[in-house]
Amino acid sequence: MPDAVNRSARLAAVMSRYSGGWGTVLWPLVVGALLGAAWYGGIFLFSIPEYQLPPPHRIVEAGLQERELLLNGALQTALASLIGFGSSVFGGLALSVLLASSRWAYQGVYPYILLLKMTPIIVLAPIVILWAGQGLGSITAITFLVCFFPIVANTTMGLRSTDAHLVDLFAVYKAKGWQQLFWLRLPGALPFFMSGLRVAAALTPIGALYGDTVAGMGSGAEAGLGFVVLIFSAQFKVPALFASAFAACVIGFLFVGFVNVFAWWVLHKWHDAYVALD
Amino acid sequence: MARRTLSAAAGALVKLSGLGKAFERGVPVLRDVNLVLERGELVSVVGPSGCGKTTLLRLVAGLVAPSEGQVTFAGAAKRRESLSFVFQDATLLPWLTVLDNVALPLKISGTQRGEREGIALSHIERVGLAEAARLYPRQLSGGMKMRASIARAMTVDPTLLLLDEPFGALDEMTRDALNEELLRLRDATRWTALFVTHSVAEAVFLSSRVVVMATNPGGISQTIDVPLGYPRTAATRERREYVEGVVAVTRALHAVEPRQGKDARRAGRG
Repeated sequence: MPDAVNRSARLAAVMSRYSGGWGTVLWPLVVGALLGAAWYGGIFLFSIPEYQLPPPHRIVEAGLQERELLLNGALQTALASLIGFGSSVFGGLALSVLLASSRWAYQGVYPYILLLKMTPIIVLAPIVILWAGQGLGSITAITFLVCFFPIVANTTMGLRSTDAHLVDLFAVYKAKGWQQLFWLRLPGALPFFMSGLRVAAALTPIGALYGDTVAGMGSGAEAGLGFVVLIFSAQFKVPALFASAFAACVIGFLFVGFVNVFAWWVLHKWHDAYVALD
Repeated sequence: MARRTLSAAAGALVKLSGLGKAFERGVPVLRDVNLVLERGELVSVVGPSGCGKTTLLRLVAGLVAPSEGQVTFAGAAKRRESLSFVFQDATLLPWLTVLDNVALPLKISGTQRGEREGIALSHIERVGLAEAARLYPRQLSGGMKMRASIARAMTVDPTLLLLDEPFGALDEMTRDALNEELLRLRDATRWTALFVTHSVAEAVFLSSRVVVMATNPGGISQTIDVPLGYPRTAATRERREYVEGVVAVTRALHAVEPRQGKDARRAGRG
């Protein structure tokens, strides 16, 4: 496959032009400094009051002041995210294997998964709460529902697009069904699974935060970040509100970053798209 | 030149009798194919695209079931002999190293890790890939991938080897080198082979008989004997019998394929 080799070589060249050396550290700092200057400058020039746009140092102050609430909220949300994300990974994988196992299963079941995906989470959430009550159970269930579809859709597609010649190869050597699944179909579906995982990771904190706002419990220790946001918003603590946005952002970064590293670790030895990132 | 009868010589390994295949809508791809492969024989199959060469191999491999007729292995209806298939592409699993790819058939049959790696390594060495055993397929050239694919086919110690245009995508020099290597392997291991190709030169160089197929519906048009013994080497290509064989097969091909142009050559991969 000289084409594939050329492609990855080109990609590597492009990547090194954009990511090499000091540029990766320097340019974000420069742009950050410019943004900060524009922020302070804007507040000064247009005399924007703090309840509309607090200056960065006030946000840091508020973040430190409310650190207990924020940290605890972030931990709660991270916990709900982890459980929701993890269960959607395992559930999604299992369902994908089922869907890919037979045409009957795919044609019969997939429309209903689509139906579930098409139903907005905003409508599903009250039903979930009705069944699971307020608290962590509902929040993780909501996170699960948000993450589930991208994993199932991508993995199923990967499992169904196994190279026909490789299937023949396994047939020639009389491979059993489980051997074909674990040694051919699942590894071949990994790149697709990783794409689904990345989408799901980006959606996870959104699901968990939304779950907090509708199913969160305000009783101190159990208040997730989404609920903390509601509190700050109601109390009009604008700098703290900005600080919680930053905390949510960190959770999202950690999730997506972890999944990206994981995907790289699994695929970099053999998959073109990751080879270039070595 | 005449079609072989089915009197099944004592050394027959595979017998195709009245073999036919029709896919959906009843369009026949192959009809009434009769062929006997003697033990240790290397038979090539050439023909225009769409003549059912690949289907023929897949029928023998048991990858598809025949619509009529049957494939018999040394007398029994089921294939009991160990069989290997070399595909058009190298069909290596991209996530496995060369070593693990070559050992795959043994892994499937349940051979222990240490044993199967030993066997795989010996075959990897035999095709000259020892240095590349720990590399991934993406790090190999087309010729190296094909060598790995052949090494993999050898690990099960096949009685019957089916090859479906294995060198079609390679440049001529690599192809010639691999042809010679394939014959060297055969001298050492003595499998029987059915070799589908669209290269007349390759067919004549490798085989003792060349089966020329016609299209619409696909079937055997002629069988041409190659009057050259083994072992054969690069020098064999300069022998008169070789050149005459190439001319005879080319004539037979022209008879079944009046418009032999470059698109037919290309489409021959199908």
